[in-house]
Amino acid sequence: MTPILEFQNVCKVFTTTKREVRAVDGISLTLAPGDFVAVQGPSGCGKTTLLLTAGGLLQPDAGTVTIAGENPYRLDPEARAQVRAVHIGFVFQQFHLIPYLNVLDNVLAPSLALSRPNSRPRAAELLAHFGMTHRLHHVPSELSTGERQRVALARALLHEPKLLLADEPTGNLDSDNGKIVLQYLTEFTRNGGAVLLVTHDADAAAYANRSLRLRNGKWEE
Amino acid sequence: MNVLRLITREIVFRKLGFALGVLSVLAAVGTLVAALTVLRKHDARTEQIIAAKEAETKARLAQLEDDYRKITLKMGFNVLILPKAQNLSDLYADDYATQYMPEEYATRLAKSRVATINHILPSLQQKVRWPEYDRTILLMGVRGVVYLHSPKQTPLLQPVDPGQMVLGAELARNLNLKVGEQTKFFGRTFTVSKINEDRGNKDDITVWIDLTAAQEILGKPGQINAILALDCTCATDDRLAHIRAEIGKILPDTQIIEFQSQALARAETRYRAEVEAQAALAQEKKNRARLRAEREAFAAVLVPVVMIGSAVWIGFLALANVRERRVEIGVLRALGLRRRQIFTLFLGKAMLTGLVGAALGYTAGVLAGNSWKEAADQTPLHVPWFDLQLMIILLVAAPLLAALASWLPALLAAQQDPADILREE
Ligand SMILES: Nc1ncnc2c1ncn2[C@@H]1O[C@H](COP(=O)(O)OP(=O)(O)OP(=O)(O)O)[C@@H](O)[C@H]1O
Ligand SMILES: [Mg+2]
Repeated sequence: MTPILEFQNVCKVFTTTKREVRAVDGISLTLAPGDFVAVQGPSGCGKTTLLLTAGGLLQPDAGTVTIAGENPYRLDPEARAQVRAVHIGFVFQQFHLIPYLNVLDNVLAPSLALSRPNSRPRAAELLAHFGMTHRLHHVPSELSTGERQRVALARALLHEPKLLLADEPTGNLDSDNGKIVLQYLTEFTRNGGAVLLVTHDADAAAYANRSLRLRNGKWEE
Repeated sequence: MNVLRLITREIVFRKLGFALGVLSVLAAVGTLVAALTVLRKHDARTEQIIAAKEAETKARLAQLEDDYRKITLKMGFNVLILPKAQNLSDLYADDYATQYMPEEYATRLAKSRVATINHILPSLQQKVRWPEYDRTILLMGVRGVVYLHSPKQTPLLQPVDPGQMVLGAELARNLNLKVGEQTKFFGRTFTVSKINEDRGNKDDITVWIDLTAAQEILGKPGQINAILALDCTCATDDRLAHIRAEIGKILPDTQIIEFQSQALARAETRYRAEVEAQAALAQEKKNRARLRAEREAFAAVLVPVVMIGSAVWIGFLALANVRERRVEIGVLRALGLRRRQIFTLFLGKAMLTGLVGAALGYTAGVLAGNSWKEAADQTPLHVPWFDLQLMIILLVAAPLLAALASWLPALLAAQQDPADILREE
């Protein structure tokens, strides 16, 4: 089975005037369909950096990243954006919904990048699945945090990506809502998707079928 | 979902920012349109003033022409050459000369090419009783004008052709004669070729016929009793003396009197008034032109200043908008939107701002321009509301300029690194 995401000795170094930070330091990782990988580690260990690199948003300084068999960093920025649109869904701790769009439009936002037929029914279907049908025309500020994250999840899933990249998706949720989100992520992997979840919450990591620990940009044995 | 929807949703969400942008475009477009409206109004007002003045002048000119015509009807001559024997008191009492001189005098005068007079008209006149109607009339026999200076000059007086007759108004009315009718005069048949309008003098009971016929009827072959002459406009102090001296040499047994024409005096006054009116008109035109130049110069400074101010303001608003929407930009990029789309997002908003601002600004400008008054007591003057060409230009130019003003902020938005944004948040 071709892996959905592959890291080979990936390094990302930030150089500031004062110091050099090896945020990601020689990381190798493979995610196949059905994988639910949790990456745990303390603040500043490089979790977000790892995730952004995996998402084709942050060019590594060394090593190769492969998404669905293709190295996005060999592509020009516009083509790389297209790779994101087709293969990747993002879920953020802060949800990052677009404040002026209602729930339905927020879920449809990815169709700006990738126009596919029947996006609307698909969006409505997803929202129904996440129990959000009664909130279609509400704006994010009118939703509870749990609802917001479910909308964000629906948005991430609109184009049926193969890979979900989740950065502390439960960080702002109470445990009940956190559980709901994690259950949906599990469901996604059961349907053949792959999830890379970064968190410092051990309970969240427990949902994964593989759990890794990151410290100073390196895997911790 | 499309970019336009994204733009309009965002505008509705952040009304204030959009309103501020629209307001600044409105100010710029409004200033421009108001300035143009005022200038147009100025032009319309100028036209109005000048037209009124010109109409006035024209009316005066018409009056003047009428006077000249009247002079012309008084033969258009203002020197009367009479036989020396003519008693002037009789002339004034009877309104016509009673002494005779040879018709050949006129020819002699014409041939001698006197410099002081232009036209000469020999005439034979006498009060007679029209036997067919038993009515006293003044008979005037005239010959075609004898030209002195240029044979091409149009005759000042239409000569009466042989067999034709011109009648005074009063006479024609009394005798019930119409143009084209035939009538008998001393046994001869004449066709009425013209009936003069009322003049309120002896002309109204005068019959004009060809000189030769008159001489035959009156039994005065080769005789005339006056030569009317139009003097030239020679610039001598004593015009009359000059003419007298000159003509006296050629026609020794004549006397020359000036035909004191009231109409001429009036015409001269009017002529002077006319010259003054023309000068006043020219002055008015000059004043209006100067005022327009002042207003134009003011607009030429004001409009660019407001426009540049507006552009800078729009640029700043766009920049603030970009900063406010950093996370949104990052998220949209993470969702796979291309840089060009982010650029379009901000540029599109700017263009929409320009479009709405231009539409409102046009309306506001026309309103403001139309409510502007040159003076409180003036009659209201409205320029047309709808200038399609200007409107189209503004509706195209304002969005383009707004886009230009937002170019850098939009570029900045498109260049933002989504990783930076998403990591920070
Ligand atoms: N653009 C950057 N410039 C300089 N240093 C950076 C930059 N981005 C990240 N870093 C550094 O890299 C390290 C890893 O950062 P990262 O955001 O990946 O940590 P994290 O594990 O996500 O932390 P947290 O759990 O607090 O979110 C940190 O020390 C951070 O200061
Ligand atoms: Mg982080």
